[in-house]
Amino acid sequence: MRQFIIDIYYFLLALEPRYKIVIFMVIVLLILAAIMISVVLRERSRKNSVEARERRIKRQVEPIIQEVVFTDLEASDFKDAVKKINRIVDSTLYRKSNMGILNELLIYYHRNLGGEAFERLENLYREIGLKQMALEYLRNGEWHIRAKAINDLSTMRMGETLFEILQYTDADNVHVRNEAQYAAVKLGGKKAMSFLNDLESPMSEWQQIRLLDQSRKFEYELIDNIGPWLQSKNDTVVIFALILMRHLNQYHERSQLRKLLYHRNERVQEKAIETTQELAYSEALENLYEVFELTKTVRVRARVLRAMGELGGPKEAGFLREVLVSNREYDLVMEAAKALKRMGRHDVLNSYRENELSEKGENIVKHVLDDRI
Amino acid sequence: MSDKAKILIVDDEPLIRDALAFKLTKDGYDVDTAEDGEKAIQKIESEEYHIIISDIMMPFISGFELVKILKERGTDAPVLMLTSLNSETAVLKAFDLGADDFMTKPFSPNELSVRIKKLLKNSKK
Repeated sequence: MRQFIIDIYYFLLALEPRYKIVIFMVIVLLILAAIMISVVLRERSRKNSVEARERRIKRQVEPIIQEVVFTDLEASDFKDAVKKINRIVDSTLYRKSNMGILNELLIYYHRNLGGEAFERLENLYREIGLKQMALEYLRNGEWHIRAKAINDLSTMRMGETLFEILQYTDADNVHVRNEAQYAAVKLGGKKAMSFLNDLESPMSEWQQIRLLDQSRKFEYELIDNIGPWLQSKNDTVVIFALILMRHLNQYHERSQLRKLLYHRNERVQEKAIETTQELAYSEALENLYEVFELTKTVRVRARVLRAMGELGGPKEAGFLREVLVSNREYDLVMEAAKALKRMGRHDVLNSYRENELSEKGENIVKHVLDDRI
Repeated sequence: MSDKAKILIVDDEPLIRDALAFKLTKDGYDVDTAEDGEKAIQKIESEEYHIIISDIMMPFISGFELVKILKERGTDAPVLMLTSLNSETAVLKAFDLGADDFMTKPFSPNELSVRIKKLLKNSKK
């Protein structure tokens, strides 16, 4: 054997440099392949053992959870069930991971069951220690662990954790912040929305939709806080407050709405015009004339014309006709024609077509009056 | 033969299937399960059930198709649809195809028990 190795050594030594390089490369590649295969095999066996552990825990825990959820247990039997579950998940090495499996299981049941079963699951969640675990993750975890912990606490309706969750509604991380805001509204209702008073971070449109969806549950309640939100320095909070005003029919604070028609941010301005229209706030028509004159942005001006079409009377019909006849901005002319149609003023549109002999006038009126478009 | 009412649960989610089976067994029924529409049809062909509880979104044969097939074959057992689909269209379609009751998830197990009792009572008339 020794002689064989020596022979190979001298053979390699005698080779030309290019062959030496090729052989060296082959050896390196073989070593790398062996390392990769061993890593893959180890990972696969680790995954298999995790899955086996998960199956075992589920198999052992499921009947106990079912017993708790579907049976009217005595307090002592409930305590026994909690002890049994804790014994199953107890492990020096895998406790966290086992608790994670249990957590997912309870959340799954919670998403599918209602009524009394719902409350029993929440009780079990507390007693097993999953609430405590979620709170620890919330205080010490990475951002994604914190966001997940908040989501779990709100899914499991742990109302007593609301105060802690409120601390994260303006967190630096957007996901933690979004989950905390959503959980706050879900757990604390309209009172918990007071976090909007001091919110400095921007709210995405998606987040506004999520919060609105939760807020719909208190549709006919008066949201007292809406005033300060309409005056917030955070424009996204102002927009969200306007959305709430519109969707939850919050008619108070209309004077503030009037001021927002002149807001420096055009997006806020547009939303304020839209809200004025949706709330049928016709007293603001005078302000809409002013906005139309003051602003140079076509989008905002078009929005004003649309609102006039919904809120206005004969005076506004005259104004819209004026825009239709004399304005040179195509979008505004089109919007004015549509607004007249919405007002039912076909007479104004037809007289414009008759007087405005250009192809432009003909096309605009034809387009607007065509119900298929 | 047992005088217990026999219920077939058709759901592709094992956790829901097992939980329902546990609850209904506890209520005193004889419970059988199937993980999809195909297996449910095989079971219905060989056994007689008093009630069938079926999910809608399942592999191979959906809950809607299952109800349609059962009604075409003249199966007498009432069918209760238990699904996450929470839309008017789904409810109307289910009843149109011949379902006897409709519940959405999350569901109250106690309410389910009451509905089953009612369906059994009606089917005996």
